[in-house]
Amino acid sequence: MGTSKITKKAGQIAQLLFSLMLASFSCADEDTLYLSKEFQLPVEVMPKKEIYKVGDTIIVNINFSKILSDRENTITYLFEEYDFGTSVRIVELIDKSLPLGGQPGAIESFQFINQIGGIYPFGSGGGELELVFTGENYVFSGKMIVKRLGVFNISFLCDFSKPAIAVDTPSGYKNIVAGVGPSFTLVNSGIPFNYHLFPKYTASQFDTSDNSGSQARSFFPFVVEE
Amino acid sequence: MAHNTHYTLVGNNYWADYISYIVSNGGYGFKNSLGSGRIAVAEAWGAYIGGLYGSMYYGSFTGNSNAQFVYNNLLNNLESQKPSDTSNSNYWIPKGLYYDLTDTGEPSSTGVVDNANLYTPAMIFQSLNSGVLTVGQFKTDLLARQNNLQSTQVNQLVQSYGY
Repeated sequence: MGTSKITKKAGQIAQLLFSLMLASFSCADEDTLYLSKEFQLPVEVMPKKEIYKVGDTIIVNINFSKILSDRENTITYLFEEYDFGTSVRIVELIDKSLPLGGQPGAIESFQFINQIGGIYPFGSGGGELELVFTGENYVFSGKMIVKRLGVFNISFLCDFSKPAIAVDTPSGYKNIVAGVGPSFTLVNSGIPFNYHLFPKYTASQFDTSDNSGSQARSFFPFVVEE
Repeated sequence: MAHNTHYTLVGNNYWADYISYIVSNGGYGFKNSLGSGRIAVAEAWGAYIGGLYGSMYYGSFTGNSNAQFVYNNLLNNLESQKPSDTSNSNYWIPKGLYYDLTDTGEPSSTGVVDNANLYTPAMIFQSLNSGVLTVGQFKTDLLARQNNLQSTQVNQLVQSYGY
């Protein structure tokens, strides 16, 4: 191979390396802002008490806007025709050696009367919670009739499936990916209620102090007596 | 991790065909795609182990309500499959089948007939060997290895998943 060919080859390699460097340090990523914000979905459970009787009715209402502020009120997102992956999990608190999630399913201990949207059982403890989108709000309204004695917990769950749309967007970016980080439901404004039943009947004892870093207030434990 | 352990059981040739299928179909393909049976049994294993081990991990944080929330979500994901829901493009991957072999009970609303509950993850894993390329072959292998344990219930369960 002659010197000129070697020089030409070296030049081509240098060009290639330069192109790769340009590609590596391209501004494309700097044009896109990736957000990951946490949200809270309100759930109202009534009447709010510790002890129910067989045949009593528990009312569940959910109603929130398609435009939500994130947990720290730093930005608002638009959730248009969005799948929040909402579901319920109902268990009987019966095994002191297991945490809340390990308790046996008990969804068939309740009868569901769906008014707007619905709860549709799919497992021993799980049920799909279908929200209705009105065009402005996401709504669920339904009743649960208690069918038998025991100590139970209803977990209201969500699983945000995809990015939303950022409404009040920061300037300076061509694209904004409005991602959703760990997000939870808040039952009755997130005020822990009847949570003393967890350590009494399960291995779970939740730290609900403000500095615990534990935001899920998604549970409604209660007792059913005669 | 689930796919990794599965690979150690089935070996290179099985996995090369797996990759080839995914590439040529641009993903999972369809239930009637040639070779889709391998995807059904293997991806169901991935979903099952992901949910199972995830729930075991998060369940260990007994004092953390966020972890228990995730635990509950993972269990619901394992239980929630409705095989007849063709609006889900991957409806034919029986991601709930393996869990249903181990758990107890299921409401009729899912369309799944789940009366089987005596199987373990280890039993299921043995029947994901390189000779098993379809859900039907998985069922046959499982029953043969486990002396027809709950054979009526297993047949009902697999049939209710559309196989």
